[in-house]
Amino acid sequence: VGREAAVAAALALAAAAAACSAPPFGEVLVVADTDVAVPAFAGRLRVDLYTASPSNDWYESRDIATPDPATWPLSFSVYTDAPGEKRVRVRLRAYPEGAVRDYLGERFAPPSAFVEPPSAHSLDELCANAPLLPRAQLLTQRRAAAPVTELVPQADCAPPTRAGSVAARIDVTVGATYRFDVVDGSPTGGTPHFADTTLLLRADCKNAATQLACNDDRAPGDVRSRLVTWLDPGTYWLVSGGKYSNANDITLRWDDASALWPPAPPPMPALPAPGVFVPWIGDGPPPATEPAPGLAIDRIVDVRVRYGTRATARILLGGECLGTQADLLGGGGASCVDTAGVRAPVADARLDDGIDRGGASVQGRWNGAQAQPCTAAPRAAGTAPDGTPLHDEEICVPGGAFKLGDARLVGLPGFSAVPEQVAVVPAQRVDKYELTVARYRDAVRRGFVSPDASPFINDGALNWLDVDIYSTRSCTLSSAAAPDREALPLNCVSWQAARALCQFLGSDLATHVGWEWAALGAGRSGTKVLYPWGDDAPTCSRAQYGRGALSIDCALTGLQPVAAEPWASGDVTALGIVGMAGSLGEWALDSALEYSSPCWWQHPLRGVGCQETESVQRSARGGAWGVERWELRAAIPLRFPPGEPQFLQGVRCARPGAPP
Amino acid sequence: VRETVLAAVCVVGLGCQPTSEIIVHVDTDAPVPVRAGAPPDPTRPAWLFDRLRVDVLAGGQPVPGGRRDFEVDEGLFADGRVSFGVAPRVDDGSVTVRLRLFRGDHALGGEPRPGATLDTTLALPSVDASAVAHVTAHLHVEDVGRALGVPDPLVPDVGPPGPSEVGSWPGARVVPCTSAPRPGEACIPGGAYWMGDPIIRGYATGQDADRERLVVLSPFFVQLHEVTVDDVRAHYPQLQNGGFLPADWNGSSDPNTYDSWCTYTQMPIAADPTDVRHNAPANCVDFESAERYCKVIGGDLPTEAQWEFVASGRGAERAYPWGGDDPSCFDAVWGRGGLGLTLYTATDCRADENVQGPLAIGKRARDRVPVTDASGGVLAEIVDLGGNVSEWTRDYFLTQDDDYWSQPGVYLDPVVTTHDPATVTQVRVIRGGNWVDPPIFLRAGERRPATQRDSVGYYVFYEVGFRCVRPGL
Repeated sequence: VGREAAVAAALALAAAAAACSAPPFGEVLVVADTDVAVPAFAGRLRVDLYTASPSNDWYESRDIATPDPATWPLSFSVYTDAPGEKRVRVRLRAYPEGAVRDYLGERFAPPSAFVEPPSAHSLDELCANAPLLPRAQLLTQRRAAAPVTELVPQADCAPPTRAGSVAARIDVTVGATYRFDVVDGSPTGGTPHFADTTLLLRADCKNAATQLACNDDRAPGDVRSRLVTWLDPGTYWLVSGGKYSNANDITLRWDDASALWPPAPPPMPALPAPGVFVPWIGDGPPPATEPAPGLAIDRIVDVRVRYGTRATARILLGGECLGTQADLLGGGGASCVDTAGVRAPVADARLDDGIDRGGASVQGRWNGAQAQPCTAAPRAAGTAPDGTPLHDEEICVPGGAFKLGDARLVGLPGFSAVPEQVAVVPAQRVDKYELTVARYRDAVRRGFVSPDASPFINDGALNWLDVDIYSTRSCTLSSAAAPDREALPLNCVSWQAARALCQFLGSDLATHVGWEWAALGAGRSGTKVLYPWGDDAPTCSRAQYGRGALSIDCALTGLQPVAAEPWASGDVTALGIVGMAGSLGEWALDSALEYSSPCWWQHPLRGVGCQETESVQRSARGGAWGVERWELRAAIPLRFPPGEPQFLQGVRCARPGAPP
Repeated sequence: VRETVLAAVCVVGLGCQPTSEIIVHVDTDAPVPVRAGAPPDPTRPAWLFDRLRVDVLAGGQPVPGGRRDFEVDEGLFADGRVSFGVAPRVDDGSVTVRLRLFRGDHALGGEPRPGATLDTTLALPSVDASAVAHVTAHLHVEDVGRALGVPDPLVPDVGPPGPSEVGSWPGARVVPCTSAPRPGEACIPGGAYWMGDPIIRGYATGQDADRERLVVLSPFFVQLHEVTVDDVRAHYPQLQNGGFLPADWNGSSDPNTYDSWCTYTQMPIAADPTDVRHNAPANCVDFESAERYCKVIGGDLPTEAQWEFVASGRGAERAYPWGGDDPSCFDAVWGRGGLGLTLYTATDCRADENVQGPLAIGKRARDRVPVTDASGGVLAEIVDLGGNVSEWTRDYFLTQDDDYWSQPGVYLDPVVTTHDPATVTQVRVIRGGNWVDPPIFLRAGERRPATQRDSVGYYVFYEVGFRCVRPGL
C-alpha cells in the first residue's frame, strides 16, 4: 500500500484546524482526553496509525510529551485526499514519562490463568501422581511443607529428617550403577537451609520398608542429595523432600554413574521468537520503544474518514484501563474501554458532525486515584495490665492508585522491581510500629497459641554479630519479661506464626501491594519515593541498618526499641508509620514470585496480588538492622521461605480501613 | 499548547484582569528533536534537550499556576513559536521568569537535574498600562549546569528574536574521522552526549553514576571486539619485551581456582579457530599489560567517556548497548558465574552446575552496536560492550561527585590522568559487564573501580579484558 493511497495523518495540537484546513478532503479530528492525573499517569501520548484490517500496515507513529496538564485534551487530524471512505485504525496510549520498553514486535499475551504447581498432601496422592522421569532429563516438582512419607534410617539419613513430598518413577532397563541427584532445590541461592534435601530410592512408592538407599547431604557443605547405587532392571521410585517445614521446588535427575558430571551444558536453543512485527510502511525506521504495558492506558479505535465531510471523534483514555494491554492483532483487535482487564472488540469511533476541539479536560477525575479515607477508627495506643506500652496504635492509610515496582530497580535478578504496574489500593489501618515483644507477650496472655515453634526464644544475651540469619542469638523474645526486651520488635517468627498472630489481634498481614503503598506512595500527592522518608540516601541516624556482622556500616549494637530515637523520627513515612525501611523486614501476605510471573497479572488494577497455597517464598518487605544500605530501598521485593524464622524478619499487622 | 505558548499569568489575583502583557520569546543554540513529523535523518546529531519548564515568580515566590512544561522541537524554535505571555496584575518590577531546558526522560518525572539543565532566571521589564512588550531569552549550551540569573536576575533582550540559533551549538556536530578504519575497527565520529545514567543510584556505595554531564568527544576508532587470545598471540613477541603478563589458563575447569577462567594459554592448542582458546577475549590481564598492548598496535585504551559514548549509542542514550530492556540469557554474556555467593554475582544463565566463563566474541544476539553509513546501512558491529568481559579504561577512578566530574559546563574529551591521592593503590575504571555479572553491570553508564595491577580488594581479574582505540584525526 503506497503512502499516498493510504489515509495520511497529520498530528497537530490546538491549531489543527488552521494547520490542516483542506476543505475538499475528508477529515476527522480525533480529540483524546484522559481522566487520570497529568503528568503522573499520563505524561506522554503515543499515537500509532494503521491501515484498517485485514492488512493492518503500520504507517505513522508519534510520541507526544504531555508534561503540562493544560496539554489535554489533545487533538490531531486524520484526513483523506481520495474520494470514498477510508478506515484508519488508531491506537492511543497514555503513559508516564520514561515508562517504555524495547519494541520487539507486538508482544500481547492473553493473560493466562496462573496455576500453582501441584503438590501432594498425602502418600496416596503423591504416589498416584508420580510422573515417569526418563534418564538424563530434569524434572522439577513442588513439595508441600508437610512431610507425607517416612524414611528408614540409613547411611546419613536419620530422623528427624523429614522425607518425601515429591516422587518420580524410574524405569531401569539395564543393570548398572546409577547416580541420582537433587540438582536443585529452589529457593537456592546457596543458603543451605533453603535447599537441604533428602533423597531415597524405593521399590514401592507407598512402602517405606522397601527403601533401597537414602542420602541426606551430597558432601560436606553441599546439602543437596545424591545416591549412587547398582540397580537391576525394573521399576523404582525416587522420593525426595526437604528437611524444613517449607515448600520447595525440587529438581531431580538420574543417569549412568559413569556419565560426565556436571553434564555438558545443553546447546543454546534458538532465540525465542520475539513478538509479531507489524509491517511498517512509514518514513524511516519504526519506533525502537513502546509504552510499558503495565503503566499504559491502551485504546484502539477505527476512524472512518469520508471524503468531503468533516467530523470529530472523542476518545477517553480512562483510568480503569491502566495496565490492560490492547491486542492489536488477535481476532480483529481488542482493547479496554472502561473495565479493568476486559477487552472489547475494536469498534468504529462515534463521529460528531463538524470540527470541535472544545471541552475541558476531565483529567484527575478518575476515582481510583482519589484518596479513599478510612471509615473505621484506627486503634489508639494500648498498654498491658502492668502498664507496659504495647506500641499497638494504628495509622489510617487512605487508599489510592500508584505504581507497584520501580523502574529504577533493575538488573539485579531477585531484587529487581520490574515490570511495574498500576495498582489501586483500598484504605487500610496499619500498625504504626512493628509488633513488639511486649505485645506478643500480651497476646499469649490472652490466649494466643503459635501454630509452630516460632517465635524462637533466646534466653541468652542478645548477640548481633552472627552472620547466619538463622542464629537464635539475635532473637528478641525471652521466656520471661525483661526490661531490655519488651520494646524491641519481635523477630525469629515464621510467616505462618506472624499471620496467626495478626489474625488473633483482629488484623492480618499487610498485602504486598498495600505495604508498598503505605511505605512509598500514601500521603505524597502522586509521587513515589525511594525510601519511606523521601529520596535522600539513608544514614545511620535515620534508619536502623548495617548494625550487625552482615553489614557493619553503622554501630554494631543491633536492634533498638521500636520507638527509639533518632530512628523513630527518621525512618518514618509521610503518614507517620515507623520503621518500614530499617529495623526488621516485615512479612506480607503474598507469594513472592518475580513481577514478570503471570501470578501478578491475573487481576489488573484493583486486584493486583499473587497468592499460592504452598508458597516457596513469601513476600518480605523492607530492609532490616543487619542489611546493606542499598537494601533499604523499599520497593525491592524481598522474599524468604515462610517456614524458616530468622532474625531479620518481623511482623507488622494491617487491616482494612472499613469496618468488617 | 505548543505553537504559541500563551500562559497569561495573573501574578496577583483580584479577578485576574491584566492591564498589560509581556511576551517572552525563547531561543537556544541547543540540539533539540527534529520538527514534529519531519523525516528522520541518521546523519544529524542526536538531540540533547526536549523539554522547557517555565516558572513565573513574584518576589522570588512561585505564582499559583505559574508553572508550565512544554515539549519543544526545532520547528517551534525555527518558526519563532516558543513564546508565552505574562500579564502582571501589579507592576512592581518583582516578576521574574525561570526557564529551564532539559531532557525530559532523564528527569524521571521529577525535577530537572541541575548539572544537565540550561537554567536562566530573567527579570521582566516594566510595561505601560495596556501595552504589550516583547523580550527574548537566549539559552546557550555552554552554560549547562550553571544557574544564570541567581541571585540577580538577568535582563533579557528587548524585542522579538531574530532568526533562531537552534541546533547551532558546534559541540554537537558530527565530526567524521579523517582516515579510514583499519580492519577490525570502526570510526566513531565526534559528537556530544550525556555521560551518566539516572538509574544508577543507591546500588553499590561510591559507585553512583546518576550525575549527568555534557561531554564532547573528538572522533576516534574503536575495535569491534575485545582483544582476543589470538590477537595477543599475534603480537606476543613485541609484548613480552614490554612486560606483558597475561596470566595463563591452568588447564582446568575447576570453578574453585581463579585461573581456570583465564582464556590465554601457552599450551599447545587445537587449530580450530572456533575454539574458545582462540576467539575468547583475553582476560586475566592487568591494566599495564592492556595499555601496553594497545600502544604496541598504535593506539591506547579508551577513556571512560569514549567507552560510554559508544555503548550508549552516541547520544541515543540507551541504557544498554541494545536498548532499554534487561537482557535475557540470549542477549548478552552474563550470569554464568556464581563462584562467590555475593549479591553481585549471578547464576541465571548457567546450565546446571557449570560455571561457564567467557564466550568467544560476538556470540550473543543483542550485545552488538551497529556502525552505519550515512544512509543507515550497517558497516560493522561492535560486539560485547555489555557482557562477556569487562574492559579496562584509561581513567583513574574518581567518584562522580569528585571535583573533576562535577563541574558545570561542557566536558571536552575528559580523562582522569592522575590518581586519587586518598587511595594507596592505583585504581582504574573498568567499564561494561562480564560473564559473572547480573544485568545491572551491563548498563552503558555503569562504572567500577579496579586496582591497576591485581585483584586485591576489587574485582578478580578473570572478569576483565580490554579493547583499544585510536585517534580519528
